[in-house]
Amino acid sequence: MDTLDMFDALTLARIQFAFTISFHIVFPAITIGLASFLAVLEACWLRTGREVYLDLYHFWSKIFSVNFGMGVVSGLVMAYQFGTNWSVFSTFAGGITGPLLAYEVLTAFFLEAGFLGVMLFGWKRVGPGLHFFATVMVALGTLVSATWILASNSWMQTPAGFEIIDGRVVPVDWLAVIFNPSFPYRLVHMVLAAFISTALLVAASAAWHLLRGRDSAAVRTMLSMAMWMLLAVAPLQAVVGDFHGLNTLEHQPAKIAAMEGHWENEPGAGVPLILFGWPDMQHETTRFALEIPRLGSLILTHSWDGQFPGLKEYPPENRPNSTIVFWSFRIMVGLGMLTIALALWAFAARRGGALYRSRPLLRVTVWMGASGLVALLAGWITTEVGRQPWVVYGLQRTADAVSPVGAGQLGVSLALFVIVYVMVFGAGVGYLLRLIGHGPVAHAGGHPPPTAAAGIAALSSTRS
Amino acid sequence: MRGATHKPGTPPQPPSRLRQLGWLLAIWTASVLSLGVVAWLMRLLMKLAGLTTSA
Repeated sequence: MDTLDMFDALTLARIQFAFTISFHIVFPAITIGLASFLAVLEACWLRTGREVYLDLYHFWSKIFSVNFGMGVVSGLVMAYQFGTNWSVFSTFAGGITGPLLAYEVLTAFFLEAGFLGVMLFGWKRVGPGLHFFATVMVALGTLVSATWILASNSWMQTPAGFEIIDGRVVPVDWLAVIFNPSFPYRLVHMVLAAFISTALLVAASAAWHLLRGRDSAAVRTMLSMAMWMLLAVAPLQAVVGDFHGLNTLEHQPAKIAAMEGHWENEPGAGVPLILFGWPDMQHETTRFALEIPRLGSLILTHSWDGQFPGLKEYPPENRPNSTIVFWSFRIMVGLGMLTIALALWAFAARRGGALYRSRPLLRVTVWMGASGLVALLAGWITTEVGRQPWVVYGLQRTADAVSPVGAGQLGVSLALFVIVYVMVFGAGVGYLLRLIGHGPVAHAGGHPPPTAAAGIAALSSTRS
Repeated sequence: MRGATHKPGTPPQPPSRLRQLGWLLAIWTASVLSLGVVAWLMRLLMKLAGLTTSA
């Protein structure tokens, strides 16, 4: 295999991974958020007996199931791809990433998929208590799955607890592997991002129905619950993001320099925050920079004149692509700020019920329905492109991790993935939007009421 | 496993806890096996498309 062929194969393998994981990550994010939402809805129904919570449960559990199915299928492709396209990486780091991914698969099988069946088909068979137990197990499963995946990804960002023996990573301290330096920040940041993305989706679907005059207790309840969630979590996410950034500065300073378009320090001067600009990797400068003096120092070092390494302190072959990372980071932060503004607007509109009637607010809520997922993708692009040129930070370069597969073979499989994904997941997403478009239906379930006594009475009345 | 029976004119009995647990176990097992079949089919499909593990 010549150098050109290897380069092409590497580029194609990276494009294939980026494409498939970008498709995939959207589904588990919604799965994480909706699973917890469903658990809360069922808990509210069991506690209050109000049918509106059960109507919402039935409505969102259908959407959850379709979304979960697409997440499983796209996730399986991801897992197999480590063997097909990234076998050198798997050979090198499989001693750590293999078990972590295996734990995730076990969780997906035995907690998520197993109890999802009970959620869907157990309403009349297992009783309200066991059904709620199944829903909680699914929600717990999504969070445990996220924990394993993010432990693995975080280890690739900030590896710890290992030795390299005969050119392979060998775990020597599993606690250090799992709780590697960036793991807690990344886990919380991602789970909150999933909650925010889901809340925005739920709010947008409610707003869409209200704008079409389909006003009901269920629609109002889901809009209200989603907006409370955003108000609680979106500002918290900004704080967690700040902590995550400080952690990244400590362990991956080149990534921070790329995110900020920061090339070099001036002696004794604070670092400005570049709001907008165009990092030029070739000329080692950020063009058209619109900057606020010293704010970069204040945010990242919490002092007016603190400094952090610029990109010029790293050899060109060790620098991540600042042009991409600079903008993906700003898209994520910008959408996060808009989400906080929306949550505050919705909170202010609660007085007098404007939350359910204000057409400008409802329209903006619909427009922002997918913004959480866009922000989530932008965040992942920031952290993954920012890790380059390493696949395991400081240990193995991405260029050295790819399988010895020809560019032609990768090109064909990439084309196949694009065609199949667009068809299968395009149809799946279309079906999801149709389900959302139907809206919650009052008393749609055929389910037993929350108490045994009420259940007997209800069954008697329907059968007599 | 049979569902709870009910004679007309008498209030239906809720399924016993044992029967509920039986259903839970049965549905859970069927769900896990279903995902196993999907995973196996996906692997087969990728293999048929020429995607195999490289050394």
